[in-house]
Amino acid sequence: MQEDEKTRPACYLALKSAPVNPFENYAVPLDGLPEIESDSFEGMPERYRTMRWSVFGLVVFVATAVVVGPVVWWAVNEEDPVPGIFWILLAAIVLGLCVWAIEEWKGFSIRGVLVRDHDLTFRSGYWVFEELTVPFNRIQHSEISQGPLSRWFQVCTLKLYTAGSSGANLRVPGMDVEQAKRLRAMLDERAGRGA
Amino acid sequence: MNEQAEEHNQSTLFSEPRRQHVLSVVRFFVKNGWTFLRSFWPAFAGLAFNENIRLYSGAAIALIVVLLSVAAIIEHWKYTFHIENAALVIHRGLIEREKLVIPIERIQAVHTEQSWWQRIFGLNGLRVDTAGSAGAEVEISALRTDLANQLRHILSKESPKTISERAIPPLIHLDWRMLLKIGLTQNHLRNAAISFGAVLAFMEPFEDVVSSITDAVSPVWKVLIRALWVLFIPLGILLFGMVGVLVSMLGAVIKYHQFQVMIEEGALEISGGFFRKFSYRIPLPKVQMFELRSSVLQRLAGFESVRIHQARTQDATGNGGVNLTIPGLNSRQVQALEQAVFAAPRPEILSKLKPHDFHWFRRWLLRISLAFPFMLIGGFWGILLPMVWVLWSTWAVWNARDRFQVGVSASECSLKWGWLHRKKKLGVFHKMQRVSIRTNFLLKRRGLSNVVLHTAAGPLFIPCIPDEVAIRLRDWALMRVEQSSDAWM
Repeated sequence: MQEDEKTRPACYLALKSAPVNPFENYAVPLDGLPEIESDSFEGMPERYRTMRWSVFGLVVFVATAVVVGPVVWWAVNEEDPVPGIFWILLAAIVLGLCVWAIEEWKGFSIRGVLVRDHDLTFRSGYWVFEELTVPFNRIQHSEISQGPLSRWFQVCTLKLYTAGSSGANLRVPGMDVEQAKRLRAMLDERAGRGA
Repeated sequence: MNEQAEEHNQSTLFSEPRRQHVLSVVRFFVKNGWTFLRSFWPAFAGLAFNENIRLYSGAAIALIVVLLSVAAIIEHWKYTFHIENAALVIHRGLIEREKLVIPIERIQAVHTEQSWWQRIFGLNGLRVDTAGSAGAEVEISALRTDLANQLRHILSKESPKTISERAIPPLIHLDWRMLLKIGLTQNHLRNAAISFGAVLAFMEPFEDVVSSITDAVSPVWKVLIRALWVLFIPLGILLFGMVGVLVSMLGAVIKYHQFQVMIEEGALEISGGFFRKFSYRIPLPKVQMFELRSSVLQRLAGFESVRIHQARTQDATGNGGVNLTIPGLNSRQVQALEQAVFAAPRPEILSKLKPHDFHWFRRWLLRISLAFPFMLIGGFWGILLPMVWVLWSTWAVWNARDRFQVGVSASECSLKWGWLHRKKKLGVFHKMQRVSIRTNFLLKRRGLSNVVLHTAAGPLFIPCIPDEVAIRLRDWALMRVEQSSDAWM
């Protein structure tokens, strides 16, 4: 038993030996502290992937038209060498696009929502990963927004607001519209119950 | 019977829409004038330079003053307030009529303030803070003191007693000696720099005067000054230091004169002030976070200061949401305050976490990378300065690493950090608004994550702890939030 506990993380041990306050008699089985299981997340719809790639494609197109194309054209057709600053700019753009592409390629499958009884978790990001959980009883209000592009792809952004910050605290972009509406209805119902 | 009558009296007192004291006109005038000055200051700067504009300036200023006065009078006339259906209703607006309904339930805190001109006329200003959202703050600037107190009692649902009637001694009372100490331990360097900056800025228009004085100085003196200017450096430094200390002392006295903190009826009451008397009252459940700070000087004098954080919008730091600072607390008083605001007895810290060394390595790299610009100087200094910087950074990061500590108890989480400037933040799990785990590709490979516990008054950021510990901490915090039915706002 002793050895078993040594291998466990310090925080776990600490919480296990939490003193019982007579006025807050939590009957929480610490071994069964509800966990956010990483395989139970629900991914975003495939159309949202298409939408993200098309935005990426558009940016690549614009970048090519404005910077990459002219620089390459200059290098091929003109006598004078291309000024160094343009090469640096070119490299920065190509590198940035590569990073972005990897984010889209690897990161899309990471994106996902998990709705539990008492909270909602959204995770995203390949390079910078974040798993943000908002408990339902802290939500001040919610919002569903949809721009022209997301309307075309029939997705929307669900925004949840909690206290103490000016912007939306949890933004779930690329949600299925029906799903978002159902989720919001559930949130409203919970708010009505005072949960 | 008497009480009932009094209650009835109170409720009828504000049942009809009423205006502020006539002198609120002055307040509106000053406020609008200031806004006007701030938004058109380039025009005024032009005024100073252009002859043609200056010709008309007299008439223009007269016109502006008249307009501002009329606006202030109308604004005063249109600004009414009353209490209806357990809500404070305010009608206001010069051109656009605005009706504000603030349910008394939603009121975060009610503060009274009294500046010197209000004191002369026996008036009081009242400020109502509402939860979270920006610009939702209401100010009633001129009310007779007795009315202001009564309105405050109704809005903050406290029993109408004056401070002198109360039996409980204040938790903290700053006497003159303490005030002196607080003044002496402030950041003199910054204060001196600010005051010299201000002097320089104000000097500019008077350049003619200054040059006429310097012209009047006899040539003999000028030669002397030129030859002996080196001697003036220590004198200058001494003057700089003295101004800094003086400004700090004055600042401390003006801000914290008769400063006292009381805890009564589940609220924190803070009052004091020299020119502008204030009295803030914050219900204890509305305290979102607690922040202790101390500088080297302050620790030498044996005290720290505490900042009380309420819910606020994060981009509106300083203006709007009140962050109250209580200075000059010894460790016993800090503990008493902690016990009053959070739990008494203090919960035992069950787990102490420290960031992984990778965090400090990253820090160190970032800091020493700042040495590169020094290298460009070249020569002797180009070697010495970077070396000093690297040594200093290493020393500083090493000490910061030693001091950083996250303390987790069953109900609270505290963060201690800083070496010379020490800070400690304390938050309660059940008041968290959202919890997140963040990591990036560099941390992920090492199995490390950051945990961010967001309170309504800003985040508690716990960097670089092992993944499984982060997940435990997150799950524990969520469990506390979701199970709790305690008031958090």
